[in-house]
Order: sequence, then structure tokens, then C-alpha cells
Amino acid sequence: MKSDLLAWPTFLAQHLHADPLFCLTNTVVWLDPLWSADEDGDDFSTALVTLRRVFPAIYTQAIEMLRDQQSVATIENMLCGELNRMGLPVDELVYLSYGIPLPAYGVDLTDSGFYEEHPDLLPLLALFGIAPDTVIPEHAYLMGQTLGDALGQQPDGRYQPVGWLLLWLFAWTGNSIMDLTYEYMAEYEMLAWTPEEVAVALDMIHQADELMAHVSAGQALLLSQPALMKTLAQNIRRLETALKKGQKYDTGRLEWPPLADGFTGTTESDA
Amino acid sequence: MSGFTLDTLRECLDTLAPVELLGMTLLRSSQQLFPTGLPRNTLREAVAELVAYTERCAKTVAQLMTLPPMALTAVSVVEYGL
Repeated sequence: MKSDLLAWPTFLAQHLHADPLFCLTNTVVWLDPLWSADEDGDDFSTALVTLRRVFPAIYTQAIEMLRDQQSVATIENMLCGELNRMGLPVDELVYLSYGIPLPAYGVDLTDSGFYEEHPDLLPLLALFGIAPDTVIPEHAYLMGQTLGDALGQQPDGRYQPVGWLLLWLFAWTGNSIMDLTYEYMAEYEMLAWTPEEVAVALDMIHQADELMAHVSAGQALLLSQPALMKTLAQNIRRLETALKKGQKYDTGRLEWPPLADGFTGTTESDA
Repeated sequence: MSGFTLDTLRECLDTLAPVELLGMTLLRSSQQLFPTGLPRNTLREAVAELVAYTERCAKTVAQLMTLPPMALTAVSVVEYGL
């Protein structure tokens, strides 16, 4: 009797699956039970409906966990963990309903907290007349951006990380994740959860992470090359003089010292 | 289109093969109502296909619902010959 009862699910499955319509129905219940759900539910179900469209693998995992009777809190942790692993900063699912969350690596030079987090950048910023709790000089941003662009165009590619360092400090990389702080980013409309905009967001995050690696490399290069720091100071002064006179300065005339041989321009050891 | 009947239409639709989604294939081969232990990539592919299929169906239904009426003056469907 017991074995007969245990055989029932298999018997039922065999007969259900013989009919295309029933088979399709079973497939939907198994793999996509939220197929008709809308985004007006609670945070958890809204998040699942959102992820269903753009990250089927994560959605599948959540459905499996639900079927396995795991708690909503456990599944929420899994969802946040998976999204963070991809670079999307999500602490709570409630934020998904606003749009695609993006990290913000931007610098606020008026925030004293920045200098506490990056004391090693103080000597570099001092060359531009920037220090904690002081008014940022009028031409500092333009000089930083101009020099960043100029360094990026140097034939020696090892200068590029220093260029990225300046472009990051003065919000001129062209990547919003690099150029905006969370406060500024919050003023922009967030990207929508469509496959196309998710691809754009992940591309931006990937690019920003690569650029931040260049920024670190640029910082290492500056610290290890006092001659470069000295030349940078001289070039800042030249640029500042021209800007104060209201003149345009041809950055092609700026001179940069030859870098020591063997320096890779990366954060890896040069040994 | 002359002589096109409802039976002809049904015969035409009957010749279309049923959609065979990966999820249905997996279901049939498992002989379970909720198969377990399948590779994650296979499941992901099956879910992505099913979600896309569902959305295609929903779009088709939406299009059919807003289809404007069309006068079929040259078509004879005898079952609706009033």
C-alpha cells in the first residue's frame, strides 16, 4: 500500500507530461512560478519579479530555495550576496524598486572624511593648493583635469595611471561611477531593470573597477618617482600662471621626466 | 483564399509542431513533478527560455487584443455564413 502511494507522483508525472499543455503547465510551476506576478507586491516578491527578467540564474536559485522551504531572510541574503558579487551594491532588497543601484567612487574634496581616508594623497593635492578644511582654489579643478588629460596622451603609457589618478580626483574620467559621489548620484534618475540597461550598468562597473586599479597604480608611481612629483608641481605652476592671465595653455609644451627603467606602472611589484 | 474553411484553418494549425521548451524536455526525462539535482547552467538556460517564451506569448496576446477588424469580403467561411 505504501509503495503504491509512493509510486503515485511518478505515475502522475508520466501522464501529465504526455500532454503538451499539462507538461507546459508543470514546467511553468516548476521553473517560473512568478510568471504572472506584477511588481506591486512586497519588497521580496517585487525583487524576485525584477530579477526574473534580468538574472534568471539568481531567480532560479531563489525559487529552488523557496521550494526547499528556506526562510525569506536566507534567500534575501543570497540575493544581496549575488548582486554584490556582480558589483551591484545592494544591502536590502527594498532598494531594487528604485532602479539599478550603482557604486559611487567619486571624490568630494570638500569632505574632510576624504582626507582622513586618503592621507597619502595630501602631498599631491597640496600641489594644487588643496588641503582639508580650506576653500578649493579657483583653477584647481581645471588644472587637475587638464593635466590628467595631458598625462593620458603621453607616449609613455606608464604615465596614464597618473593621468587617471588626477582625472579621478577632479571628477573628469567620463565614468559616472568614478566621477560622482553617492550624494550627487542620488540626484540622477537610476537605470531601469531592463536587460539592456543592466548590461550598461555592469559595463560601467567593470570599467570603473579597472580605472580604480589604474588610480592605485598612478598613486604608487607618484610616490616612487620624486622627480615626477617635482615636475608635476612645476607644470601646475605654469598652467596656473597662464590661467590667471586668462590665457590658454598648450599642454603639448609641458615636459615630463623620463621614468626609471623597469617601472611597470602597475600596482604589482617591479622586482 | 477562396474555399478556405474553419476545418482548413484547424488542419493548418494542427500541422504546427508543439513548442518544445528545454524545461519540458527536462521534466519529461526526469519523470518527476519538480526535478532536482540538475546542473545550474542547464536550469538557467531553461528558465531564461521559458521567461522569454512567456513574454513573447504575452506580447502576442496584447497584439491580438488590439487587432483592428478587417473585412474579409473575398473569403468564404461556410461555418459563419450568416
